[in-house]
Amino acid sequence: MSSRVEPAYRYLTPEVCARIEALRPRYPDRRALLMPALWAIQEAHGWIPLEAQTELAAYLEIPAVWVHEVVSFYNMYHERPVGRYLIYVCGNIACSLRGARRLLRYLLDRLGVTERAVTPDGLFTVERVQCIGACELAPVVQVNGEFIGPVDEARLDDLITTLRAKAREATP
Amino acid sequence: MNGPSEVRSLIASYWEDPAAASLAGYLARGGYEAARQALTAMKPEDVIEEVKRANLRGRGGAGFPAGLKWSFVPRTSPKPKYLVVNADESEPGTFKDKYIMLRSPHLLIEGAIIAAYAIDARVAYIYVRGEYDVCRLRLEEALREAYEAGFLGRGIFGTAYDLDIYVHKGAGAYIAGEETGLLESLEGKRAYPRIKPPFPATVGLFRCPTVINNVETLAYVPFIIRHGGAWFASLGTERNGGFKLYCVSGHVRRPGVYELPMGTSLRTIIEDHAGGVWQDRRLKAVIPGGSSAPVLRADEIDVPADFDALAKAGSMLGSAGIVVMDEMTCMVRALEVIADFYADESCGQCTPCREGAPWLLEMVQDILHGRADPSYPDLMLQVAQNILGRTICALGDAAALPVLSFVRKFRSEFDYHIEYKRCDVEERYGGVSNPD
Repeated sequence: MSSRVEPAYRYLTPEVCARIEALRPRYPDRRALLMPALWAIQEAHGWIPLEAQTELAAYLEIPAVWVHEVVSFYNMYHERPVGRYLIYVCGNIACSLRGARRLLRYLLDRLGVTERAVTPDGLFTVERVQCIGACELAPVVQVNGEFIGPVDEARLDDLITTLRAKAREATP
Repeated sequence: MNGPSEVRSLIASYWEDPAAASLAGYLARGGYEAARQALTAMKPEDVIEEVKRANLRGRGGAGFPAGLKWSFVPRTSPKPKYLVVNADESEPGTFKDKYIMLRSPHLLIEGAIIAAYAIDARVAYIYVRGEYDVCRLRLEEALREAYEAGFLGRGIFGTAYDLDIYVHKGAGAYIAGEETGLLESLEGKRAYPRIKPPFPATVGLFRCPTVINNVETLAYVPFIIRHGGAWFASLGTERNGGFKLYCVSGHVRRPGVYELPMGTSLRTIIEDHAGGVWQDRRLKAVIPGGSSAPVLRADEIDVPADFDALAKAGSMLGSAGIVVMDEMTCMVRALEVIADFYADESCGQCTPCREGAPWLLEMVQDILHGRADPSYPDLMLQVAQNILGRTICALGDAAALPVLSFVRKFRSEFDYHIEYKRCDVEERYGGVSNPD
């Protein structure tokens, strides 16, 4: 008489597991499920704590180091919490030729934060990133995946105002 | 040669029609007829021959002939074969594949079906960079449409051929765009490029025969099947068939993607299509093929923008990311931005690149901050020379080539910074220069 006791997962919720299982038939080996599984965790929780990485390793039956080496290699997996609006500021050649570095300094000053920190209200994280493939919009920023450009100081002010209003609407 | 006699654009003609992004709009323009023709009336070998005849060269940067690449897949191998679409577009200055996926996703899917059939792959993955989530969502929608219409799945066009296409989302790593780095990433690992040989055509994804093609490369395939390889070849220059998507950014009036015949002169692309240098300033320099391509001076741009002519001119077409710099650009600071990128993105496997790329960055920064002595420019050339050709993948070369060309062609700016601890461009333009 053996009954397999399912470990209690905190981050691999039934919804996250269902998403992972839906993708399993796409790959001939379970290690390849790792990146999509990490995306599922991040989309559900906003970031990927170490505990979630350990859970995922157990769930996929792979060594924990395989999970951690991937999380720590790719820039878009967050090992720390980020603000509700993650603003990527491109600092590469096409954007910096059109003033991106000055705009990054402006944005950080405006929000009173350092790069990668979260504003006290939990709304914003600003991160300088390498080329995001939108040089025709230079200088360009990306907010939760959406490209916005070309931006200048006024347009960044508007963006912050709009996002703050949006956040207020969502949480009355 | 039964193609239209006068053609102004191929892929971009779809972008002018907002409906072309949907399956209905795509079918209205003759969509999926090329795939039907390939699968029902052509043998895989015939498809490969047609693409060879087209002189279609890989649009990801290396310019390898696509038909030849497909022909390397061992037909008799008992292993599954894979087609992998490289949609990791991440070479700074490049943004063309994004438009294909957003505005004409079915061109890519149809091209992928034809390529997969040619190499007998039953599964294809489209690896989309994480920052292109808008593209991924559009592709997922287009794939759903294609499955519903029976262009994907079991028994396509009533033949015995089955194909599944899956989208795989990257997570932010330039090196994942290197084709073997991409395979490692797809397998759920760090994107460390592999030592070649063996080449992916024999040992690729999950150790099976694999072809990796860029998005633009595959988007041209339906045109080749529809109108013939010879017609496509005739649109370009010798050994560079067809049209090309050129990305123009930096100090121009109209940054954007321009589809033009392969071999259009760099000057024509910049002046006639992108509107020339902005704010009535003079041109200083042009990077013709993404930030890893050696820079050209303003007097070096009367060159056909194809793989061979730009190589002969000492640079490369690469991914056709044309970055234009005006007279107010400080070349030392511009190089700092580029050096920062390669130092940041080196995967760390090979010592010359892992150590050398950050050294190059530090030296440029020392020059900018008045900490360098006159030996620095030569030292930078020496370090760059010692990275070149000594790494597993081309990222090492990509870190070295900009340094070699910037220092050699704009040496006086480097020397001025070192000697006077000031920027001569800034002095000449009233305290302003770029990048700031």
